[in-house]
Amino acid sequence: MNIEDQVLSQVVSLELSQELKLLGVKKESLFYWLPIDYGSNKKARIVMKGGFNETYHDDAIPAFTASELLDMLPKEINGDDYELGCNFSKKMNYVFYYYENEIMDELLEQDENLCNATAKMLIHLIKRKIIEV
Amino acid sequence: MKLDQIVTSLELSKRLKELGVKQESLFYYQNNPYNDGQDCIDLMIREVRSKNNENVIMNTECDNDENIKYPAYTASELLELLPKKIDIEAISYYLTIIPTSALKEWMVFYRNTFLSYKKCSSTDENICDALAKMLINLIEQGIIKP
Repeated sequence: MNIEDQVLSQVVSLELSQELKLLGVKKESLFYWLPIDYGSNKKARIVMKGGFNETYHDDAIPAFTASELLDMLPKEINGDDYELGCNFSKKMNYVFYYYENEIMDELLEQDENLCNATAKMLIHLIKRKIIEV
Repeated sequence: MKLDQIVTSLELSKRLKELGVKQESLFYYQNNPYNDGQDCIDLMIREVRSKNNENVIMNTECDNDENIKYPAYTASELLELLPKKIDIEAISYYLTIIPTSALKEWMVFYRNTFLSYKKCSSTDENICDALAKMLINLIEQGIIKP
């Protein structure tokens, strides 16, 4: 695998990264998306923190890794009623959910890429105001 | 998070190398030749250049073939190496990750239905180390080959 592709396979997609930024997730990341055509977010290249001048790149978008995203996900919600879980499913997806005796069906996210599945769950929790950023 | 929090520890990286696990990874532990001769191992990353030939990654690996390198695997890389499903005695078990009850560690295991039986488990505060321990566990038990 090409080394740049290797980096791309380990971070959340540009689309989900943009959504996380729009929702106000401001945590620092090891990697960033840098828009190529300023003013348009349609294309971006991946850059490691320290590999660009952050002063001139307000438009840099954190490209979180799986570990960074898992660190941000609450391990339990509704007090301590529901705990986080992640299964690999028969449909070959990573499925994130919260469960007590049963899984909360309305709070279930999945994707074939672990980073994207984790990001989708984080976005879901923020949008439903279950967590604040 | 710091770089060393998103990759496997040096100890587990060494064990994975001993077991013959695929040695391709984005980050490496490697002797640092710029450290005034002190014995020290640093986390390095392969050099990545953009199409415009700009160096987009700092802290690049050293071009010294004599240096022993230990891959420092990320969670995504380990998940590529781990089987998503294992079959034991005609029963399929699927990879599962949950926080432990104290919520301080990650537990990785395989189970045969959504919320029931679990088979083979590993725990660690660092998700990468929990996954690495599972990989080591499966190889040592002969369930998978490196």
